[in-house]
Amino acid sequence: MSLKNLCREVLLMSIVVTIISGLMASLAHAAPSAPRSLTLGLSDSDDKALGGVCHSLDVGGQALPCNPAFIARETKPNFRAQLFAGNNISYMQDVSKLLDGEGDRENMQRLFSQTRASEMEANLEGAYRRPTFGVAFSPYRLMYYSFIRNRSLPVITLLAAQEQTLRFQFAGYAGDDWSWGLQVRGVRRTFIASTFSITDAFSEDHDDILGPRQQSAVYLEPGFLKEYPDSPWRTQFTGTLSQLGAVDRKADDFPTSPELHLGSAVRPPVSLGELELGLDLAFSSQTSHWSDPFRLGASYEIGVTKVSGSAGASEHAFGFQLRYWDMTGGLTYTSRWIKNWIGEDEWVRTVYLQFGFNI
Amino acid sequence: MALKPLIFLLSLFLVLGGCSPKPETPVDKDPVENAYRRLDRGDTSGAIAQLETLMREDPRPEVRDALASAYAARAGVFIDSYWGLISSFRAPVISNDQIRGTGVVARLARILTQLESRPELAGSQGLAQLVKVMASLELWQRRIDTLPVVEGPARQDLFRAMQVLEPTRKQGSRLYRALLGLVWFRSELQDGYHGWGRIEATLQKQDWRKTDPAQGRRILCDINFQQFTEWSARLVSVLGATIEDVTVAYPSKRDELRQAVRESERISRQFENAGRTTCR
Repeated sequence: MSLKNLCREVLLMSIVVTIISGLMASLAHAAPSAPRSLTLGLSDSDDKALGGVCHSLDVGGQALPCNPAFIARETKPNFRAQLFAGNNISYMQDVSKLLDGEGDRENMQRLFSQTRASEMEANLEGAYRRPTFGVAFSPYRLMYYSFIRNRSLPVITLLAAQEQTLRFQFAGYAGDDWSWGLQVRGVRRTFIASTFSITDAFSEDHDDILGPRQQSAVYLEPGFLKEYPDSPWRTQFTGTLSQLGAVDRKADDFPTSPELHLGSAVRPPVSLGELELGLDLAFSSQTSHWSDPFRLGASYEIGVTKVSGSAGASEHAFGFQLRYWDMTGGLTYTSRWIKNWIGEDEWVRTVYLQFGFNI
Repeated sequence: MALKPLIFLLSLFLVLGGCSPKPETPVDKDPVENAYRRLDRGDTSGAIAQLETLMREDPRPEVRDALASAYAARAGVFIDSYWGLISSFRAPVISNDQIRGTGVVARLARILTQLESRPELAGSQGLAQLVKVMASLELWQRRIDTLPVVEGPARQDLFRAMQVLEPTRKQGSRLYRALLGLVWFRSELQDGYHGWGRIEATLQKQDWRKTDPAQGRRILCDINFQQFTEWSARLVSVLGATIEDVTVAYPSKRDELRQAVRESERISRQFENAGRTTCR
């Protein structure tokens, strides 16, 4: 590519970013209490280990790639399924009962006998991928977040949700090593999002505060990929616009707040294995500090082993995966720095397990 | 190429995503949340001052809940240690016919059996009714013996917390008021037993099967029944108001709870009557 064309394309991208950032600023909503990575993120090892860098790196371990443009690079059809679960998985049964409207006092006692903030996440997903097309179905994704304050009369902010998600990815080549992709995602949620005191929960008529609600959402999420396959480090530039969609019922905890990812990745040649380094800049309505968008990530694969990790302004993560024949297993550790309720520094640490198979 | 329809669709979704009702007040702008932060930092007096001002302007029941919890925190009552009791609370079965009890009540019941053989001793009926009142209160007390005892100026904070919640009709708020009322009831009951121990010590010195009637009358009528009449009547009144709060939160338990309170009130009135006619 000539320098003139490169400059033109960079200028075009800058204009697009400015316009979209301005539009996203106008769509800004109140920040949800639960972390965005829990409510709107993906539940798999690579997404947790790499964070937003999964939009720049195609590490191949997910049901479908974060950036739909990557599906254009799929070489052969394959089917995969995975089970993913994080901390506090023991709450799964209690959370499910609450969402089914069958929660009793014992369930609530167990859930509310916790430390100040608790999270839980689990996901079951199957996917089929082939060149330029992919489909994934998650019949069961469960998430839970609770935050308790005021020991004198505990007040609880509770978010519990069960989702079914169907995703389609379409991709194609646009010439000059450009690829485009589009993800169409439909989500059906049953959720409880409420703030109440513990005596409200234990009074006889608590249906108003613990009554499940439904939300249906459809998202259109485009992505692009620009490769330089002849460069020594096989540089690539990526962009994705995620969470761009519409819902039938607004809910502060599940906003239609688009998130723009711009990134770059390189694959420096190494003597053994394959190393990828990536950078992602993520812009959303929650971006408030200049350092918020940045995240660096890396993935190294050798034989049956893959390690990956990433670091951002306020969090870091590390993941380890093993592949044996068609089976995969992984362990991911994430750590997020927050200013807690009373203004003290606190690290929220989570460990995730994932098992899957590829055919 | 399908670029133009794709751009149109993307634009449509951008617009649809922006067409939304205004979000509710964000959590960090709610003054009640700021008060909760003060409480969790231990600044109960600061939270009380903030919430007393807010209550005059903001009619939300959450404000009253927060203010009551601030007073309760200053009194040292933290519900997170006791809410299991409320969730499993059962009213005691009160019987006017048989005195059952432990400790002080059991020992006084044994003295009563001695007095039964001496109907000529005045004051024995009043004592019998008093022991029945104490036995019924002990049955309530066994249900709440895990609650804390609040003493001194802290009890005023507890009472103020209950006053703050009195106007509210929200079930959760009335349940909280009931719990605070039970803590107050437990604390007052604890005070009464201390005085009762002195009475017991006096009564146990006598062998009532052999006591001279004049001396027995003098001892029994020296017992300050009036003081205990007022004390037990006040306790049963607080108990009644507290149980009414519980029935707001648990309407299905209304009959069971009110029956237990009615029995306690009837025993208390019988004691009042016996106390008035005894030792004239």
